Amino acid sequence: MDQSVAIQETLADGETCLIVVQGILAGEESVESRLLGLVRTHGEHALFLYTHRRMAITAEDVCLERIVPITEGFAVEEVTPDNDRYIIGSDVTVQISSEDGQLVVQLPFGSHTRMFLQEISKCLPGIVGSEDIKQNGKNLVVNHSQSTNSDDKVTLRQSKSKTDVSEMVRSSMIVSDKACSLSLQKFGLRDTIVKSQLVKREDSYTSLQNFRFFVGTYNVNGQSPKESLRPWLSHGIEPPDVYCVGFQELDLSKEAFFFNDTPKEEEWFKAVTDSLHPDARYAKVKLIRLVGMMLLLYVKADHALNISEVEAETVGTGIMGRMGNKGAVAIRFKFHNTSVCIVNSHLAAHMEEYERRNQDFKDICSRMQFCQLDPNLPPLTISKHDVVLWLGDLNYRLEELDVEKVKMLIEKKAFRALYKHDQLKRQMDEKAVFEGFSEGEITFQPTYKYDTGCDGWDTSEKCRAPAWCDRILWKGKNIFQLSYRSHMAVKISDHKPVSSMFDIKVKVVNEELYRKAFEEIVRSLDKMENASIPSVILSQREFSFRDVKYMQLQVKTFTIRNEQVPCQFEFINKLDEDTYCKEWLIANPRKGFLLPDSEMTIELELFVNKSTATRLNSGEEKLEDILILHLNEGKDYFLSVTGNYLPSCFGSPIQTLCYMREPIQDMSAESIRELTLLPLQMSDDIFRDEKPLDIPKELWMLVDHLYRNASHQEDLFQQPGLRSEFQQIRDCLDTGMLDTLLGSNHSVAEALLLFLESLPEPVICCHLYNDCLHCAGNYTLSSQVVSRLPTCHKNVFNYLMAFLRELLKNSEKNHLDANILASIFGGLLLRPPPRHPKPDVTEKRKAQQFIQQFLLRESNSP
Amino acid sequence: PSPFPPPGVDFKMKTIEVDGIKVRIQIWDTAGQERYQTITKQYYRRAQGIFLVYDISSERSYQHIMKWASDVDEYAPDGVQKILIGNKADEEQKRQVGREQGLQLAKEYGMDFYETSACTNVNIKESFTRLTELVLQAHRKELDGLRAYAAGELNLAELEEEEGKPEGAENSPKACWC
Repeated sequence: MDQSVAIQETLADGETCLIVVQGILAGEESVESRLLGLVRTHGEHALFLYTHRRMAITAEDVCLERIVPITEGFAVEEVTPDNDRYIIGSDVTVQISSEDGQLVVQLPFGSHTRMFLQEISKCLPGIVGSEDIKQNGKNLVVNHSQSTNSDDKVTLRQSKSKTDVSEMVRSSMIVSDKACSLSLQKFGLRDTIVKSQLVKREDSYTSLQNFRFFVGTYNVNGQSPKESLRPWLSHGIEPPDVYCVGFQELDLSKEAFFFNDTPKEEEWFKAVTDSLHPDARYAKVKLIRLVGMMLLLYVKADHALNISEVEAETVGTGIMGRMGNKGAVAIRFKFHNTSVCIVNSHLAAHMEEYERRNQDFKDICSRMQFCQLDPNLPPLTISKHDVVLWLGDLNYRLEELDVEKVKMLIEKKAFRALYKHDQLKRQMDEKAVFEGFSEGEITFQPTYKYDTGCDGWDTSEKCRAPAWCDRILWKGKNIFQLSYRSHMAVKISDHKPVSSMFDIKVKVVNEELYRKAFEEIVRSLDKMENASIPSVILSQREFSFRDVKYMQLQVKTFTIRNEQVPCQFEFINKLDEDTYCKEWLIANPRKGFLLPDSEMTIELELFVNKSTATRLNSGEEKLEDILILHLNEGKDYFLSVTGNYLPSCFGSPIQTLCYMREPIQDMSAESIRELTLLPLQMSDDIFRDEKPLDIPKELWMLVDHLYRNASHQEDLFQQPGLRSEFQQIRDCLDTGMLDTLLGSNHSVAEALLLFLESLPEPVICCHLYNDCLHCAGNYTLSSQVVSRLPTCHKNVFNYLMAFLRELLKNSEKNHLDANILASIFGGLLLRPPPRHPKPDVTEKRKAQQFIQQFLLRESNSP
Repeated sequence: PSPFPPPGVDFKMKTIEVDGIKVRIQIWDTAGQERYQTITKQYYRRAQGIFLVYDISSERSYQHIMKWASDVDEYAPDGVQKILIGNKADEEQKRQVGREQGLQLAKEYGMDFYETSACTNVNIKESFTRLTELVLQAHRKELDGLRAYAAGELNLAELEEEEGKPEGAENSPKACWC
């Protein structure tokens, strides 16, 4: 029942009770029950402690005793009572510290308490990076961060020290759902795979080892343990490894029923603890109780470290289908690598109510759910365990026999005949209950109902027929029942206790093999992951372009063949560069997408034009580049491109060519470099070894050819030439192989234009560009500007003007006029300096005007 | 297919556990050939740990370490962790670089040193674990910060950070450890 309603009624407006837990306040001598409410007021939080009359239903039932504000200095720390037998499990004892002092409170075990502690931890001030994380070595915040390793604990078995185990148990209790889910976000899938692989391979790293389990059940009919329980728990047996001891009807009082609070718990716990086998030391793992049903789990102290993931839950199936007068309590845990669930149930009473009992069983199975360490996993149910041991007062009776007949058969020890009338047997045969469970043969007389304190059958008015109410069943592999018996010597109750010994083969982990298996799994996952990194096969990775010439496209192709993973590829920029390759290269396509097993052809196009030729001529730059082919989320491949460039007059400066008496390709690379890098000489008086030519011989050859062959050619400079003829002309100029140029007039004319265009420094030097435009229209000024050109440029200019004037003389034939020629040559001879905006119409017109002046003046010929 | 991996930057993932923390390592294996050095340098920038690898059967590769180390100094971020590796330790009969030489060089640079064999899987795990430890130590502060945050809101997955590790020096043709 939610007691927060009662507390909420006591609160002022704006105060909200978030969650309430009932705990035991540990005082000097006494133990008192308190309600602890977590209350929020305007963004602040505090713990309200209430005394209460009973299970609080209204505000009248509670009385506010103390308020502990959750502020700086507040901490909740789990403490372990200083008790030898208390190693792990059981209730959670926490110490609440605040500026006002400390309280120690024992909180019931279970998910509600865990939720309560989580809620508190969320309210702790300065949870992010606060200093008190370090000050309080063990407070909840730190438990949070310990829990960050919790998924490691699931997947990685660390060599466990004793502290590890208590840490593990602790973090399993106070583990923050948040921290867990956080750690699972990214590695969740991976961990899930690792886990399931580990389960699959369990056989490879575990071996079966026998452990002895004692299972006992006793309906004590509200009595106190007046006599020793040793005849039941330890007489005549070897010390078992595990004790599972269940009680029913521990306390029949109304207090127990309503407040779930009974002094009997302590009494019987002590009685059991005192009666465990004296030849071994046992540690209590867990005690869980719901009203009169109590289940105790002990293991040999040596085994304590091999117990993990202990969880306990209760299910009430009593009045209203919820109350705890009937139902079950259960403890689940992992013993080595085997999961075990122990259920102690008290099912509905009365002869005719067997269907109700069947229903109780089903309800218990469906409602008994254990939290998992990983909150993303669904809760565990009873059936999900390797080993289930089910004990309790199942309350099934003997049917179709009257009391006398039953007693007669008992007298004759005709238990088999009697067993045929057993309701549980019959219901199990009909598969109506306990499906998949086994029970050993019953060779003891019914354990119900006796007159308390003796071995005589019930002599009360009701005179109930004897029955095998108290039973022990099991489910799972590798479980061998060694004994199944009752203990007549114990006479505390109207029932007799029942016990059974089992040898259970438990999966024991070989740490070394486990680690090996684990590492193999991680490795294979890495392998899988690496196999899904995109990868391609390139048909070629080194490309060598031979004898690259000016304006002669060379193409090399290669294929990218994709392997298994769809991938996106792209040639990416290199560090500190804003292109993926040099200007003279293009990869086509630059990026693309490839399906598995598909391929694509990439063309590498190498083309040297006027903007790259000069530096290649001079050797300042080489045909060398490395391209990075990047696969999205994958590798990078380096492609190496090399080549040799054949120097050309195209792209060479006028002055350089004037110093070359031989064809450029007959020159050594050093001389070309030297001549190309020579500063532009402004006058004739600086001589090298020999006087330069007046104009480049290549220019002369082009002009002379046109002068002699094309004076009458129509549409000269207006028709395109042939690409192949240009190549011949270029080769002829660069190698000097032939004295005359081959090709049509149009091709030669185009070559001339290309030559002028490729000059790194235009005929009218860039720095005079603006002056020229300025004085266009004023011939005298214009001539003065021309006279300021370096000699070789001046020569070229005058030479070209003279040639063009000659052409104009034949305008009747060739239909050229000054206007056309001026506009064609204006743009080639006058080029703006670098970074000057692209010439607009006005500038172009002025350039044309500038040239036109010279075309119209006959007088100024050289 | 080809005994030498294609020039480029190979990229692999590896998961190891250090101090109970799962660490995902991103390994970049950079081309060793000299001509690609200008390109491979750019990959140093994103590295947190670097293996400088030479081949014990090649004196030349050992001599190259100096160049690698100075490139690393120049291009890798401050605080990058480095380990010197003499690989192909299985080829004892072809050994040209003594163990002492390796140790000596590592000492000069203040690095840890391992002789490894990618072929017989000697010291591979150890060297990876060691470099990861060094990287984690170097980032201890951030890690602690993350841990503290993790208790609050931050994505804990950042804890298992991904590290880039370009492997300098000669590529091993026998990269069979992965």
